[in-house]
Amino acid sequence: MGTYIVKRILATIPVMALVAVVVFALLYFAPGDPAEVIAGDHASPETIAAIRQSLGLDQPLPIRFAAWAGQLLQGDLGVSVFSNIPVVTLILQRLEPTMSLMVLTTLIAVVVAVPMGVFAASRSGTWLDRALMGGAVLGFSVPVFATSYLLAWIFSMKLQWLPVQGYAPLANGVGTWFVHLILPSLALASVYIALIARITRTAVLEVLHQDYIRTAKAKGQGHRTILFVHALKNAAVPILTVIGLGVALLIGGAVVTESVFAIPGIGMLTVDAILQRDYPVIQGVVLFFSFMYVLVNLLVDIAYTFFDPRIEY
Amino acid sequence: MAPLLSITDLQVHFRTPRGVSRAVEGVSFDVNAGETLAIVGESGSGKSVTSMAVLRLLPTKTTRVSGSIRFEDRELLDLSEDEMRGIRGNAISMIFQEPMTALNPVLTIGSQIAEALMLHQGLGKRQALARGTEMLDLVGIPAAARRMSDYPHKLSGGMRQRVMIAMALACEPRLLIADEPTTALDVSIQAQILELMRSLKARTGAAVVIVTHDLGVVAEVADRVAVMYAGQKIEEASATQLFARPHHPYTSGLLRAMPRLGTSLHDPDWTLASIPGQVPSPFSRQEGCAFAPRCAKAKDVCRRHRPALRPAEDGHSHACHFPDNATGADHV
Ligand SMILES: Nc1ncnc2c1ncn2[C@@H]1O[C@H](COP(=O)(O)OP(=O)(O)O)[C@@H](O)[C@H]1O
Ligand code: SF4
Ligand SMILES: [Mg+2]
Repeated sequence: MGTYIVKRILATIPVMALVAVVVFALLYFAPGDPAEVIAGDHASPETIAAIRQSLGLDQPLPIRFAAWAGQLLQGDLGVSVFSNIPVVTLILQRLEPTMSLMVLTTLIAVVVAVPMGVFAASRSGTWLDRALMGGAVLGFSVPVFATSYLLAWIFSMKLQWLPVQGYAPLANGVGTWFVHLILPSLALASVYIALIARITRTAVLEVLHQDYIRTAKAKGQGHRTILFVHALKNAAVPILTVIGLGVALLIGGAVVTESVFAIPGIGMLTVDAILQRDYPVIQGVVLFFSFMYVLVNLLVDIAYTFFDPRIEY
Repeated sequence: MAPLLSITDLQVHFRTPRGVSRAVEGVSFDVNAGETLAIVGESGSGKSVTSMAVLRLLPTKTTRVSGSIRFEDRELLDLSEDEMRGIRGNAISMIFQEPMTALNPVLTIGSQIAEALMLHQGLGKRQALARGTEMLDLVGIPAAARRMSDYPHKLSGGMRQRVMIAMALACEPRLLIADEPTTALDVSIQAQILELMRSLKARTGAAVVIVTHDLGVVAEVADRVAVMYAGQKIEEASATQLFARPHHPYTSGLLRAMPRLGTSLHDPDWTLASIPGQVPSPFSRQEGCAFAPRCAKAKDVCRRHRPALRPAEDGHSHACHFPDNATGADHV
């Protein structure tokens, strides 16, 4: 087990290295010259050349990459072209809202979607199954910004139950933190719920045809225990996998949701950086999100072993 | 004394995309307390469906079951699902053919054995695990206590079937239904499992219904034998009678073609060589005797009139117009 975990961790290193290369290349080939952006609209060619030099942009590509990667390894993501604040600081300042949003969204999604998928599987072919899965398709097809505006309109504007916008740090109390986060989390969760519920249904449905389910029934075991213990535990691997892969959706969705609900998180940082062509910040957030994605999927790999004893260590 | 289990005119029909499959068509038999009844017949003759119907394990949506299944004065077909759950794994247990897939791969052996004990005997987890360990010991699993925390994939097929037997017998059922319990196992292991079942049966006094297509198994364990063909029981007799004086040509054919104990009816070469022709499809059952297309003795009357099951000597019964080995007494 220990060696399995170490192996999985080591396997993430080449992935992260590749991500770094891609992120670097992406911005290298992106249109526009960072030096011109920094210099502003009316700068002379000399000024731009000076800025290029100071940024190291006049160096050959391999040297630029080596310098960038060297800094990266020391945890230095460079400095924002606009605010002159280190990118790492910018990200850390906005880490809490984004992590709060993602964790709460994931919790809501799993708690809603897994039982939903299990019930749909156990009633497969009935109107309940069709209603649940129809809801899932709907949840999947409506864009996150539309769900966000709809929820905000109903619960904040019309009913006035919840604040319209903004974020309250955890340090100010869980209550206010929660009321600010619940709508964005629900909006973001809708797509995720649809994804997890569908996979859960498929995986459980397949398991329900297995011989060991009949064995459990022949023992006198009840419907609910058969579904949520015997069947669900066997379906855990595909469900965990989709939870891990779905983090990609969550990242894209967080950028949108944070904008709609004015949550000062990394998503907003990303949008601002893109609008301002703040290249170091863009690189930093892309790397951060990639790292998060790889980390979550590493955790998923490790979680497999708790659910399925047959996984090779 | 009333029989422990009494099945009367059991019919099981499945609704399928291809039409209605008449898997079981009017089967009746009794099982007395403590006795071993074998159900034999080629693949597809309805043996498994009959045995699963007893515990009501067939898919409810697509299955229509009629007739009567009485167990200890209760009509099982009339019980609620909750009442049925109280019987499953408790008064009646079942062992299946495939030990490799019949155990849940992600739950420990221990928790799977403890389950029935906690459900039916009200034991706490610790007591149930302790009792489970005793059961594993009883079925001859070495280092039973250690095995309890293992997962099924660590065990061989034979060992898994022992676990299944331990699970099935944990609550001391009055009836054990074993659907081809040795078919999937190596020949040497088969003998061990049969021996284990026999000794446990002697110990607990449970009645056993053993489903098999292996006449060698029948010869070794059965008191009485019911022969099934195309969803019907076509002959029933004590094991000694059946081997000595089979009445139905189908049974005779099976016995003639049995070169030695342990030969399986599922062996394709064997079946083709012995009884020409195929088992009729459950989707289109014809008039008359179901065996007629394959029977050397078939006459016109066989194709027109389905022979009814009729008693012969000593509790022997058969469904054939022209029985083999018949004495004059058979035809009164
Ligand atoms: N769940 C089911 N749905 C439809 N048909 C079934 C089902 N289970 C069994 N059958 C059909 O019933 C017939 C008898 O099957 P079975 O009892 O398994 O035979 P066997 O004597 O080999 O155990 C077969 O034709 C089989 O295809
Ligand atoms: S009834 Fe006729 S066809 Fe059927 S088994 Fe007897 S002799 Fe053969
Ligand atoms: Mg069978």
